[in-house]
Amino acid sequence: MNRPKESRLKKEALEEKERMLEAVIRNSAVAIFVINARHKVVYWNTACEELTGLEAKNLIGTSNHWKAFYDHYRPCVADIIIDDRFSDIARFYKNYRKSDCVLNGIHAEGWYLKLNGKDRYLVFDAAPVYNTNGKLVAVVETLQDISEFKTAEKKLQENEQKMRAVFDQTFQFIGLMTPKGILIQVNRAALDLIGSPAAEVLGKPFWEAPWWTHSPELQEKLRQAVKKAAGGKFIRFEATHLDKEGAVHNIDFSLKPVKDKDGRIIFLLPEGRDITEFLQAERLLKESEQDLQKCYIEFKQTQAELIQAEKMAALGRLASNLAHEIKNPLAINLQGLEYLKSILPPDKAYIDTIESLIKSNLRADKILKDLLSFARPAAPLIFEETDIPALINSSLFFVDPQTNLNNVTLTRKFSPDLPKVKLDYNQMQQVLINVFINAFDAMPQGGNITVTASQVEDALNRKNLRIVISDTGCGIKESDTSRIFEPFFSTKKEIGGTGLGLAISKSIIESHKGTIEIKSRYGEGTSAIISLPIV
Amino acid sequence: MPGKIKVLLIDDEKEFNHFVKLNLENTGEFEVLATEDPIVGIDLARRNPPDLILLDIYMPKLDGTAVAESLLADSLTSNIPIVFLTALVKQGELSKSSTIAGRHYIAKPVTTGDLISQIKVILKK
Repeated sequence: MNRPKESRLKKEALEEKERMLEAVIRNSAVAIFVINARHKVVYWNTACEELTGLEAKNLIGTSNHWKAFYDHYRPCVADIIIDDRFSDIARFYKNYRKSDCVLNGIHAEGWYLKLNGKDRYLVFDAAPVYNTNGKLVAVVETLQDISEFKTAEKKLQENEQKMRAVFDQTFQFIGLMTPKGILIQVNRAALDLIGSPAAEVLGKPFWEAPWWTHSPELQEKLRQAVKKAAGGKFIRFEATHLDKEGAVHNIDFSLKPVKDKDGRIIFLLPEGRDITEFLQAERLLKESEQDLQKCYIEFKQTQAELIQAEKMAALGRLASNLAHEIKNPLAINLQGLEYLKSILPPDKAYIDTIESLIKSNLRADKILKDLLSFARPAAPLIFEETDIPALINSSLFFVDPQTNLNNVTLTRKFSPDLPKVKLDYNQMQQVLINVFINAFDAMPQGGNITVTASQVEDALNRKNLRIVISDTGCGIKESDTSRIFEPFFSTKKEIGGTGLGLAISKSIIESHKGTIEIKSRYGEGTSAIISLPIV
Repeated sequence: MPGKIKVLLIDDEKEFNHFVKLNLENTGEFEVLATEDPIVGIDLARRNPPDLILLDIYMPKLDGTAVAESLLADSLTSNIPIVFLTALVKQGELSKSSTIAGRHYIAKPVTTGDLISQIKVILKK
């Protein structure tokens, strides 16, 4: 082949290649333009025309390519490569970097407002073109409009931020874990409670995190709950968490399986609501409800006591008026009967009848006296330092004649360390006489009476005087024991009991802030236990 | 009748006075003057001073304590022992002191035996 022909063929081939290249660039879907080393536009393809709204015919051969992007002159990325001003690029672009795959190429991107009618996010990639001598002859710059992608990305970010804010700001404790229980997300509230950074708990089994480690039972319960939730069940139970100060929080805990669109469980959603304050409020409410109930009962009791006290006061007034009115005719009867007795012939039938009438008269008088004592408890107490053995002995003195009559053996057991006790001597004597008379009356065939007096301490270490009077008499029927302090209740009506002795005694003991208790076994005997505070 | 104990009984219960007078005089040791009217009683005491006066406390016309004050204020009667008779006595008080405002008292109803022994105790003092 001769040289001119070879040269022509080569030229044709070259022209063919250039046409092809030009067609590739012109028809490319990617916007491309090329400028030469003197910043003149060499190519401005159709996609570039469509993107920028500027036509190639107006730009080819000019340096006006910047007009596609800016309203005043600024270098495009391609210009920066030609001028080798990469060090200066930050002045013009916020978001840029050297190209990853092209030597000396530059990547830049950013928002361009109202570019060809709308806001566009453009990505520029500019690559230098060198000739065979290594001299820069042109720069190819591609433009991509990724506005839609950017807008979607921005929206996604905003949504995620919103979701994250809700996730973190809520008072509930929320997390996210794999179906195997590995924690992959946790919110701020949950982390704040235990005072740990996320890194310490993420990527580990949930039950090994500090919310659960204080209780092996809870850890096990959670492990089982995770298994069940991974199987599709919703789990809820009450748990406790310790906060960073060690305080116990009551938690309403739940575990929900989260499914993808195909119904596969992809996550588990643990949630915890701190119900400590709720439970506290509930407890307080219950307590105040109980207090209220107690108050109501006390109120009812006080009301009943007041009514009772009012009744007793009225009974007292009635009794004292009644007693006065009845005592006068009784006095007349007694004197009249005695007169009859003195003037009637000494016939046994007459005498017995009148004696019986006199006895009845005196019995009626005794009932009235007892009634007055009970209904109108004696005047203010006169406390005096009292020697207890002397008090007991003097009380026994009044009833002593009965010991011989009834064949009763009396045993006294007084502790040697008995202190003197402040009490109303006369009233306490009345109490002891009443109790002694009951003991004697219980043993008409004889028996033993034991009197003990000692100093004892109660549960609150307070010193008490304890007097116990026990007999071996008939005892009290169990059905009667609850009534023995009731006024007018008597088990010995047939021998003249008025049923007021123990009622009066109880009233006197209570006015001394003491207690009297009767313990009895029917057929075996009775003990009266008197306790008085030693002050 | 020399040597008999003269008793003046002032009580608004007429029947009571009647039987007390009969019972005391039956013993032969007493001479009893009785009245239901306290004013008459004061007059009787001044005109014919007894050895002892039995005086009811609650009387509609004049209270027994007022009668006592009047008798004590009068030199003719101030030395006569007064014993109150009253139905207003509680159990236990008898064994306690047996005096109201410094005077003796006897609770109604009372047997003649008790009445006589108490009168004698008071007169011995």
